[in-house]
Amino acid sequence: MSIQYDITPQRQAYLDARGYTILTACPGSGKTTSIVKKLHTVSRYCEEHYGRHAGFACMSFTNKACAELKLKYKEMHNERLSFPNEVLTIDSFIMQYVVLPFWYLCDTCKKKPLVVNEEEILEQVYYNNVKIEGEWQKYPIMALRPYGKLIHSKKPSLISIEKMGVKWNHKVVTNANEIKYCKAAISYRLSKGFITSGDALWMACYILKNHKDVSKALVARFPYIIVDEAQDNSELHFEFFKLLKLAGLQNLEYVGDICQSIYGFNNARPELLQNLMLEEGWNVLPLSECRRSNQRIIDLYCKLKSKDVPPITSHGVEDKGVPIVVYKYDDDNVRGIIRDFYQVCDENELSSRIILARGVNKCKKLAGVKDVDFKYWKSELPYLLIDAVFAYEASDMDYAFRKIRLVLSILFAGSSPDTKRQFIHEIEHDIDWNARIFGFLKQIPSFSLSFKEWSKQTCVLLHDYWGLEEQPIFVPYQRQAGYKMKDMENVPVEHFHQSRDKDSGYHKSIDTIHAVKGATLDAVLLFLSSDSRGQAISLNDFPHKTIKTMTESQRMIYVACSRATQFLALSVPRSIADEEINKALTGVDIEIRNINLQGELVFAN
Amino acid sequence: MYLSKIYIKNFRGIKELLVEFDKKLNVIIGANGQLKTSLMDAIRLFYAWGEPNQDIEITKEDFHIDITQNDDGTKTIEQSTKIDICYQFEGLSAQQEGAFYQYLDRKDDGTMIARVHLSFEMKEKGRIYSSYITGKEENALRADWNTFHFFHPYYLGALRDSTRDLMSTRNNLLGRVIKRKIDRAGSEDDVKSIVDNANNQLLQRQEVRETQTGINDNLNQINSSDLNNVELHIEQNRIEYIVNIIKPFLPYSQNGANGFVLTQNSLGYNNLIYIASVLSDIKDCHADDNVSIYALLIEEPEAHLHPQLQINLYNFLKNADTNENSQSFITTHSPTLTSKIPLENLILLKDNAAYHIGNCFRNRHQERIVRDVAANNRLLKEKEVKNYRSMIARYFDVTRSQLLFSNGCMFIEGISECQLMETFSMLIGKSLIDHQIEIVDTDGTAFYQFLMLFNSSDNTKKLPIKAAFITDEDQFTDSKDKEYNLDSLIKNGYVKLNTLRDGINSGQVNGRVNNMRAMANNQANIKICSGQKTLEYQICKANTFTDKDTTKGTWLYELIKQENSDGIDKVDSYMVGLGDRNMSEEEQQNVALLMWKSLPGKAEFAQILNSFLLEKYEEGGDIKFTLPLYIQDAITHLVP
Repeated sequence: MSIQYDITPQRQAYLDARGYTILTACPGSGKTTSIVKKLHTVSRYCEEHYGRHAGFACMSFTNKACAELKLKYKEMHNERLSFPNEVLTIDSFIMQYVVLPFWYLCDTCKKKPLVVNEEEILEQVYYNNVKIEGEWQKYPIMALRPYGKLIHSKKPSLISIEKMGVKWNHKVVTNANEIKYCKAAISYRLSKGFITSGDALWMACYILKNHKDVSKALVARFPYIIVDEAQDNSELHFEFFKLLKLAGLQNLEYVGDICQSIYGFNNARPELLQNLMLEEGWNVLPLSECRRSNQRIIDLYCKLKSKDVPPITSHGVEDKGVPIVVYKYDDDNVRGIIRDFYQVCDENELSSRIILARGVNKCKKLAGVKDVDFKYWKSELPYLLIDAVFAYEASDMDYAFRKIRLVLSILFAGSSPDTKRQFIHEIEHDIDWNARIFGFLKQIPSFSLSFKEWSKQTCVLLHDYWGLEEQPIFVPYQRQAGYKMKDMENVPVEHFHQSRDKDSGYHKSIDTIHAVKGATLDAVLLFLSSDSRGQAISLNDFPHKTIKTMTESQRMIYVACSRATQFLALSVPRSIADEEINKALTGVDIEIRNINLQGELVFAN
Repeated sequence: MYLSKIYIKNFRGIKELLVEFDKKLNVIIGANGQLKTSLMDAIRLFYAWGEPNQDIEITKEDFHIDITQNDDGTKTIEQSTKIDICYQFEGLSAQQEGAFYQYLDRKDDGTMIARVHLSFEMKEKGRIYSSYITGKEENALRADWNTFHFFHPYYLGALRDSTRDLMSTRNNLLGRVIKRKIDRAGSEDDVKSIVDNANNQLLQRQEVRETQTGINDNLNQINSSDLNNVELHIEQNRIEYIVNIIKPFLPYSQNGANGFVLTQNSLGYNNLIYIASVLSDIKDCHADDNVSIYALLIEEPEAHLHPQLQINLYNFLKNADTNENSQSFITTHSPTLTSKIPLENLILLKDNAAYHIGNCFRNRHQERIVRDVAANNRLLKEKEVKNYRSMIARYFDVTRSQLLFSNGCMFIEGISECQLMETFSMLIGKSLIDHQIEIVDTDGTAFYQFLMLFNSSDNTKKLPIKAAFITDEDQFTDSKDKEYNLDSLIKNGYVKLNTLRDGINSGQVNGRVNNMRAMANNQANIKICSGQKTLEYQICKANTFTDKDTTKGTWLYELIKQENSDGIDKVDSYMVGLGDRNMSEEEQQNVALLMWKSLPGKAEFAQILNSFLLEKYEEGGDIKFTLPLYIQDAITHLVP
């Protein structure tokens, strides 16, 4: 099967571009397909100009995006992407090509590092287990003793390192003593060979900066680098590529859309890309033909668009004439709204549809989960297993396997972080182990079981499958405020950990905006909050006049709305008056709908 | 980029071996069974790793077997289950650093090297698992498999029939070279059209048409409904088939179209044709890309080449391919070939270790070895090391480098000793020849350069061979004067004889001997054996005893009597004059001196003594000849 790719002047300009390029691609512009189209030419270009050993590295943020690029490449060009070319995540690129081969060039790092992004596990690195009078006690490591109670008030696992300094829990640390503490904490974990993805990036920059021969060799290997979703790059990411450019990289492409950056919590700095667009030496090209949405939908989300980004036109999309609907919701009618939304979809034969809200908690709440923070177990094992299963169901094997390896390191390698690290290094490339992990993932009991039963069955499985000497125990909390834990043991796990199991009544019906990034859907229903305090997004985010710099919330709504091809529906709290809605969405044709649901069943039991 | 180091563990006979290589040429020498072929195969194993037609693979027999002798006399035999071979490359170009990025390991001194580690594990039921690591060992990373395609081996095995490769119609080297040229010229269609023409002409021939008709008639009789008629043609759908039928031949005469085909040629010539084709191929490859690296491995080229051709081949290889991405590895037993090779390029394999002859002269002045005892223990100078190095190189060049293949070396001062030493060793049942001991005639007393081959305190800078140096102490050099000839000695009641004796006994040992002892640098593999005055005197002395009759019963006495009856009369008359008593030490010395003075000239004596001893030895019976003690020491040092 091959993909039709219709070439317009815009697209041709991109395909022909070499050197330093920024491609700003609007939603639905066929960005991925264009990249895939170009990659084939680029691979030939590299061979011709740099030799058989040299190729491109095309990077994106998620494994999913990379898998899509690879699949499309195969479909379009009828050949598999292979050496010397690579499509991989930025994290993998950094680990595989800089940190893992050359970590020893970073003086602070004393051992082959292992990436641990799990807060709980990283936290353990900072404590020594000491046996006192037969009892195991946890003591903070010597390196952090001078900082007294800081280790408790500012958990070291939440410290991150940035280009300009250190952050704690995403906030810049300014107090001199705290900065010293944070640096000591980072040095410590690096010296022990435990790093977060953020640390890895910092290390990579350090290595490239201080060892030009490494950067030069890397550039010789990959003379052409394409960074997809470049709007989500952090400052250090930009630094990383800048260092490669300094080392002689002649072809660097940033592909993305500053309007669609929604990873602020991950240090994404879309404004840096926006600034770069104005810098000399960069060839800034647009892809502004939207092949996804009708113009009505485009006009709505373009109210949020930065004026630095060219206007977007609907390109060859058939408009079924479905109006933009704004629902008003309260605690009781959410299910009714969803039903109405589906009905419109059915009437217009819109098969792919999605309901979105910002953040996991908002989604769960809308879906009827009363307490999103409820934790049944004290042990970390069950949470790792649950995460693994979700990742496995979402086909994110890398992530799922990583989680299981962590579980295994806890079960097999005892309490010392170092032995765990070595254990994971030993098994991560072992085919036998990976095959067993795969088999294991398939056998993890269903979440429709009660907490108690699931714990029991899972522990038996762990014991039997991995041949453990002792059966592990998932210790539940003795008490949790507001709950009778005795009763909770009979509640199905899925009530609090929604799965993608379509047959379950607790099937995850509402997704986060982050989860659908890059997707195309016939119909989208987006739930907004009453205002934009904290993490919330609301109509307040729609500006009255065109803006230059967008806020994270604006980009969030932009991403959500731009998923829809035919039917876009918003849902706002009932408390918001119609005129407020009309005012916020001035210039867009909308239809406000009240759904009343008296006497109907509520969504959750 | 070149292979700078290989480390091999548990591969065939190799328990553990580390070898460093020269970037261009490596000539590997060593006696049989010193694992030269295993080393070559270990190199080849990696270079062939990415080749589609791998002609080497690991089997169960390749895992090292360790045999240990137990105290109770039994043997424990244990086969290892893991073979490890590590390859280290240096001298990477910027492009190669990119190409072999995942092989890179940055050393503390800032240099970039490339590393690969292959391992083979024998698991249950003899199944063999292979795996590899590139870059720094502990990182356990694996470079993309495709990078192995950048390594190319050309192998010419010891017993291999290069004719076979050249004859192959499927994938032979000559065909590959031509194909590459066609590819580069983009002339594939032109070449195909030549065969098309031939095809047409051939098919129009009656013989072919008749054959075709015959086949089709038969086919129709078998089944006329389902089987279509066949057509005939020269198979030519792929350019490879066309180029692979091009073969070299040696024409009978200039411009002749007929000649000896490959199978009629000698193996030697075919080997040369093959090597010439290989180098042509490598040169083309260099033009195509400057990332790939090539190893030319030739085993025992002397097998099919006469000595002059061996040298020609070496001179050709030396100059033929100067590209920094090709490297040659040659094994040889040929002293002729070896003698032409610069010391740096010689690698001696012995007892599971590799020795670089060139290392014997590398930074040796830093070892603070005393070179001149008399001059206030002056140390060996850098300039001297350099001189000695060129002396050794010249020595090898002129005399061939047999000593490198030996089990031990005996260095002597001249041709006369040379003849005698083997005979002496036989008399005490320790034949030097049988034990593959090389007797080296230094033609004088130029021992120092040879000492340099053995005297380092660093094991990597000396040959793993025992050496004995035999030299005269040369006391009292006035002994040659006329006043000390035989007639003068017996005058006036032997006054001069006593003077000579005292002169020798109290004379100064030649400074050379002390220097040699100092230069031996306390190395146990070296023995400096010196005899008072000269070898001839020492022979006489060793065969003179307190008892006069015993003295007269020796083969030496018999020989002198036979050769110089006048002289032996003088010896006799001295002994008669002493009466019936046993001889004192001084008197024995006097007898020995008189015998010595009765001997014919140095060279003549050696020859006569040698044949006399051989005859006597062959007659059998008691051996009535005693070796000077220091000679005996030297022989026993080499043949314990």
